[in-house]
Amino acid sequence: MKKAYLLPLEIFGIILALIWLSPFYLMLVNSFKTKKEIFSDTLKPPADFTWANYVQAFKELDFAQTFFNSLIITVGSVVVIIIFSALAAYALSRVKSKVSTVIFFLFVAAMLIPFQSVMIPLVTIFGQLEMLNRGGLIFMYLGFGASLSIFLYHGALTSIPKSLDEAATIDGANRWQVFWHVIFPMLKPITVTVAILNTIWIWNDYLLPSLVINADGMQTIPLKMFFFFGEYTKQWHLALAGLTIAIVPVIIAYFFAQKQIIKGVSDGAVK
Amino acid sequence: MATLDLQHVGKLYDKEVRAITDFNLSVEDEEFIVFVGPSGCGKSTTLRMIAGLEEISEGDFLIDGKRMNDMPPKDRDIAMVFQNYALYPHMTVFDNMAFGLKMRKFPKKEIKERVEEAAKILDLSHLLKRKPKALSGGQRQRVALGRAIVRDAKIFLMDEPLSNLDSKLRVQMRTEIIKLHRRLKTTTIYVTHDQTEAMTMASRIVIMKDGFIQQIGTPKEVYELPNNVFVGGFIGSPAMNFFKGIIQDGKFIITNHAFDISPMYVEAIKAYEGKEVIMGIRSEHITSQAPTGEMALEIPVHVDTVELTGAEQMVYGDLEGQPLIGRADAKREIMMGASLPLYFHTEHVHFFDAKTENRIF
Repeated sequence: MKKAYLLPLEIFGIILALIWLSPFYLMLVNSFKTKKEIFSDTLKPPADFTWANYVQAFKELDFAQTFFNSLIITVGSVVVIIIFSALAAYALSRVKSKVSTVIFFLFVAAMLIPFQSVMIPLVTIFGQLEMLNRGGLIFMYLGFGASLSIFLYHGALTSIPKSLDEAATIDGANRWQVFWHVIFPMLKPITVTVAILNTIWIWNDYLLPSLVINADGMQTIPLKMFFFFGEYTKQWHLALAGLTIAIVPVIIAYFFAQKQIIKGVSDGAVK
Repeated sequence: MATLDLQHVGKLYDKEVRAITDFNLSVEDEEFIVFVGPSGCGKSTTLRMIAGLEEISEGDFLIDGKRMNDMPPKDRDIAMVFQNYALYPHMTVFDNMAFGLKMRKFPKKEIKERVEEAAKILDLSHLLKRKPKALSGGQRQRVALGRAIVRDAKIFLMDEPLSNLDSKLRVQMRTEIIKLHRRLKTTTIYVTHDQTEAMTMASRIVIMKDGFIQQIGTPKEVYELPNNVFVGGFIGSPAMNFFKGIIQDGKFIITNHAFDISPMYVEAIKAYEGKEVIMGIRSEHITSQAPTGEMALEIPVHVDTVELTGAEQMVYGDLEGQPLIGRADAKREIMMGASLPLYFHTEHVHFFDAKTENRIF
């Protein structure tokens, strides 16, 4: 009886999955076609598989360098966001004063400011300070990512009893050691959540890098991808092959880390 | 091994809310001191000031004669057991116990030896690789104790360590802590709101209320000679019975019952002639059988309810509208709602000033 009850749900789930996967199907199938073939029929499988698109896309994207740029910026930003947000949230949750409450609410309020409203002055100021490109971008991501991350860490920290800090203090740890040896390991589920949220956003971000990165050879994958879409021609065959290449490392990374990611997300839910 | 001195210690929050007033206590080496009192009496705050987790607003705190007011917790050489155990959840039992030693940069070999030794004492050897969440309440409590004893600290502080355990385990851990203290002889300060724990464990009890010390003494002293009505009512189970009455012609009068006062105290009571006083008497001194070789006053008492505890019965009744608890033999048939003659052992009564509630004698 239970099985019969679940059947409609199962069918619904499969349909949903197919809808979700359909863009990937289109991407994969069309990445093997010639440009002409794509425009004649998008849905049909390729007449013959050709890797030529991939070879050309890899070259035009300067993939190794571009991938490395994306990786450096994403990993750098996420690490910086985690360190600073966790420390800031720790201080804000443990030092109870009017000032700390105000600072916390300022961080939370910052989540409501739309990026577009600050982007022009931001880029102008950073340009004047000569803080564009990689370093400047990571610094900006820290600023934009800190709000939500601090909010998440703060919530988790308030549920960690203060007596743990006190026990560690009496055990001889200083503030810094209390944080790194006792508190930070306990925040692991939230750290995973913060890392995932920020990685997805930063890895895929187009607008901010497009404003900040102006040196050649510094572009991230989303930026380079734009070169396939000219004013007069759209090179779909190359773009789709490029996208497939860009997705593969993410899928590999997820494949290796999925145990930690799922555990992190579900741990966070249970506690 | 250490002595502690608290001299005129006080605690103010935000410079106006007073939590502790003029706390004076000298703790001898190897003593087991219990701070007891109702919640909010300041016992935990005092303990936390000793630990260095709270600032001391007034007075001096000394360990072995050295002033410690401004010394950070880690340099006071104390170990503390918390009410919620405060075990590090991501560390194994071994790492939990080793943490304090690691922070103090002990060599690895010594850490291992000390932790294993402590685990043996506390019967935790087979659990060293587990994480706290895989332990029962009693085992967690023992790990918390283990974390304190590996440090070989001068002073142990325990903040209601047994209040999260069920009653059977609590009694068992109580005995284990006493045994541990006998073995290690470390000066210990133990905070509880449970007077039974205080009575059974302490070498001396400090009874507190509203931030003031009410009495300091051995369990026997505070039980037999309570300083005031509060201590009499707080220590002992059931609580001491109190009756309001008037002193007339050197006797204590409740409506038409006159209690003789021992000739020893006639002088002390003279000043209260014609005034209201409070008489205190413990339930074991209000019995259904006349005591042998002691003076007793027989008074018929109205019985409300009777509780059989096993060996005896607790009789809940009232005397001229004032509630009382007495004791009767378990075999005796007692009718609820009826009148029962009870013997008041007049040699075991205490008198308190009705206004100040302080002991007269």
